[in-house]
Amino acid sequence: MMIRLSAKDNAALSAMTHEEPLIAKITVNPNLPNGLRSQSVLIIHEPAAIPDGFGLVLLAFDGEIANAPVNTVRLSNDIRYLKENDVIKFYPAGCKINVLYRKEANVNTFLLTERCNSFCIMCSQPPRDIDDSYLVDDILEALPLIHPETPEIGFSGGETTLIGNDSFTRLIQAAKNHLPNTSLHILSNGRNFNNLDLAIKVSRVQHQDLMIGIPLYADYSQLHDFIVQADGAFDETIRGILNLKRCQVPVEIRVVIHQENYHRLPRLAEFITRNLLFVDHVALMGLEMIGFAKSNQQALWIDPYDYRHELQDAVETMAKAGMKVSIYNTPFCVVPEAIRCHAVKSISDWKNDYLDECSKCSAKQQCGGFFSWNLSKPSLHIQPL
Amino acid sequence: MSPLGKRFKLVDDFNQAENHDYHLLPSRFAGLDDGRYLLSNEVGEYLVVDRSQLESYVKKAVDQDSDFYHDLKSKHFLFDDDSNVAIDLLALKYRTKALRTSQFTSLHLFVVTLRCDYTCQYCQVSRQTDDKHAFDMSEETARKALALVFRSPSPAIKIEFQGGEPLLNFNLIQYVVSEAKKLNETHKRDLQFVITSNLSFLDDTVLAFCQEHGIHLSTSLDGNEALHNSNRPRPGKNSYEITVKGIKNAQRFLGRDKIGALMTTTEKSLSQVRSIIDTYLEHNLDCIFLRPLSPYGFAVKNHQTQKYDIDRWFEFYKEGLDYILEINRQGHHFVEVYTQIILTKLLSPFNTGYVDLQSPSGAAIAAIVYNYDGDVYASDEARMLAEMGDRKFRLGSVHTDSYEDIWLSDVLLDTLESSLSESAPMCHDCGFLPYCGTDPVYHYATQQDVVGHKAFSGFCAKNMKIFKHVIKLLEDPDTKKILTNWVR
Amino acid sequence: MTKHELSFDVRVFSLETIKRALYRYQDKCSFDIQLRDSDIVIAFESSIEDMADRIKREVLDQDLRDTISKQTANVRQLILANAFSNTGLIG
Ligand code: SF4
Ligand code: SF4
Repeated sequence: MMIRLSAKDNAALSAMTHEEPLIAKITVNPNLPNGLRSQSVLIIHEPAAIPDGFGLVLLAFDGEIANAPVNTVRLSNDIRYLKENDVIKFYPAGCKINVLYRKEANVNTFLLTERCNSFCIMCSQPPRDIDDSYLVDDILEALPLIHPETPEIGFSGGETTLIGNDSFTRLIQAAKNHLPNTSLHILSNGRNFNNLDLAIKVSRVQHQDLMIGIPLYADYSQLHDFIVQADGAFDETIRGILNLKRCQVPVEIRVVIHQENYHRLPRLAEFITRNLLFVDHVALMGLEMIGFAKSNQQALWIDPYDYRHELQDAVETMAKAGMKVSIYNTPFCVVPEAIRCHAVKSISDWKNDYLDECSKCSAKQQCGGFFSWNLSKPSLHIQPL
Repeated sequence: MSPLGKRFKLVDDFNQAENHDYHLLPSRFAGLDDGRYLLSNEVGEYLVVDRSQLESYVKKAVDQDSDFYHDLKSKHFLFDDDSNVAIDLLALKYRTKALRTSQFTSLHLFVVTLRCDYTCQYCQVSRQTDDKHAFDMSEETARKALALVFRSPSPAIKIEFQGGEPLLNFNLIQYVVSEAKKLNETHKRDLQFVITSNLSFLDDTVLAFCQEHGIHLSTSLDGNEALHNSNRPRPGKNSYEITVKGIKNAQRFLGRDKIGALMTTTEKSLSQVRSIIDTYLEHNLDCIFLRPLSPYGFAVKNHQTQKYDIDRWFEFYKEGLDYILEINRQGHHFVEVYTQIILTKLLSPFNTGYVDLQSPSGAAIAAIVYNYDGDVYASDEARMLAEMGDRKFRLGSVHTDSYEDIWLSDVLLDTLESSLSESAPMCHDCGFLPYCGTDPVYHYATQQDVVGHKAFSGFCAKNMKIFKHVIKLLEDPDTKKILTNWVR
Repeated sequence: MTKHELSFDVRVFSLETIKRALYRYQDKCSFDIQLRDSDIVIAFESSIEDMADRIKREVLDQDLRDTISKQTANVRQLILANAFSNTGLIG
């Protein structure tokens, strides 16, 4: 079921001493040593005496309580799932809480900026031209709080590199310093790596397990440029990929499949094996029906069943060439049997859902299911296995 | 299809090509069949086109909204003002292909003896004698040859023992393997050994030795018992029995991947390709190399017979390949090696190391031969030519010449330079060039000219036929599925 | 054996183009080439029925080949120069 990562309808139950937003880690331990309390958020699930000194106290129940100490907040129903080790950002002004990190999540993704230099026709997170430079500082503050056993974190946008070369490398460096056992996946349209300097800077960090995911939507410039609504983007992206690989930075190519490009998919696969065989992973992805994909639904939607032949052809071309290929965001039963071994359960748990009929499906464990927002427009060929 | 929201521009708005103009990228073509052509670029990407498509491509009249235009653009046959990254990508691909050449000699053939227990008619080189001193390679010669082997800059080195029957000089093989391994402790190359043998002398000692050193065996199997025995006579008239037993033992003790067989095609083979293939299947071999009739038989024939032989051989190959495809359709993976080499060139961005299909010639660059007496030849065929009295491709001797003397010899450099297909008449603008090669020894043997007039060349005729056939086979999706599985 | 004569307008086809086309058929017949006014005239004998048509088509093909090689000579140099400048990336 879909999980909300932000809530405004929290209620302050006492005076707030914070003037600035607070980024802190959650604990369930009311006996935390005093010295640690001011930087921690205590969460309480049932009525009990509330200890003093915590930076913030969150009540995850509805009952009355007496003498709430300062900085006590009753949590919105939406985010009462919060647990030990999760990290939140609390805005004292509107009593708003953003969930920055959940220890239980399969992947935690940090938004670096909402700004973008492209304008993809199926963008799931339409760009906004705003000053959101505070996001970088938030992440720099949050990274040290993240549990060191976290397997993977992600950076996404907007276009992540637009935060500037220095901030971009500083974030990767911070991820490396604070999370030496965590892999880092960064989404970028790759255009700014057209500048070799940025690629060199990134490679100098020598992050232990980095992957840069770069979308390539077509095998020739005009179609790719149209899909990302930016002239010259194809050349910049290709040169960006070449530069990154020149610096030995791992690169993943990401292809979102829709009405405008599915018919060239086999050609794109050939193009990739001929020209970009050295990339580390190729992800072929179903359309996520949110953002522009939703408003452009009529022009873009195609049932994955209807491009299954193109998908199989593309996957086989690349797999035979020895490339690592995965299919994302596509219901398992719609993927042709011969290439099901490439289907990956990729949808983040907080936006993941299934149809009613999926409950009687024996493949549900292997199946990525649906984006919650795709449930209203599922493939017409869902067939419990 | 309903349009995008108003904020979005249309696909036409992203065509930056001025006046719908485009520029050609280097390409070549060749006739494929009636009215159709193979169009290929410098790095081996190809399209099958008809005459009008070809003409409109060259005359710059292709409609920019057509799939054909996008195919030409995506496969780097043209570029337009919308994008010029094609140049970068082509350069990179060219470099990847050229890599194989720059790594230099990786296959080193040691002719450890000319003696043989067989009396095959077509064999130009073997001797029936017990005089070890006259026709065996000595330790001194081997040591000097090994010193040259490790001068080659190639990261992978394969040493192949040949004969005669090399196991008749097994002591020297043992010596070379242990010396090479010693040398490799400092050189650290990827070192492999192959013994090419008729397996008559494959006893437990040899098997144990092969196992210890991970040595591959390669033998000859020409077909069923009658055919094999008639091609390969030996005193007991039991060569088939011996070979088959050897294959089985090698498979059992060393593993199936450690033993392979090669066939030689003779007049008698031509009518029995299916039975030959069945023999390979019966003995659990997973590939066959349908080789042409020995070209050194051709040397003495005139051009017409040569062409006639090629035609007959091609029918043999085609029938065999059809049968092999049928075997694959039944779910059994079985490969024809020459087709596999060509498929790898057609469908992957890499070059193969196959000596006969390279330009510059693979002679001495990809493979080199150290004869029993220390003479160095550019290829196995060059050695055979010498046995027939023409020492044109003798590059020197391990006893008197240095590495530089041999690899920078005039014979070698002249041969390499003059036989580059990129400059050879007919080849230089042939659509098959990226997949083809140049075979200076063959052309010298048949035309007394290392380049050769390709209109008269059996090498050209044979390869053209095979290229056309394979490319047409790839047009059928089901056959293509099988064939792409062969690509290495 | 039938005698054939074919003529090509020099303003349309270069002598080089025609020679290159004929080269491919030298195993089938030998050719006599003459220049008459503004025509290149080739004479040959052949028992192959459609030989003349095949030669005409070959000349047209060769003409396309010459166009390609002329128009791509520069970009070919550029690609080669690029390929062997050290880019540190090998696919
Ligand atoms: S029926 Fe549902 S759970 Fe099963 S494979 Fe299809 S989409 Fe997945
Ligand atoms: S030998 Fe024949 S097939 Fe090969 S490149 Fe030359 S002309 Fe073409």
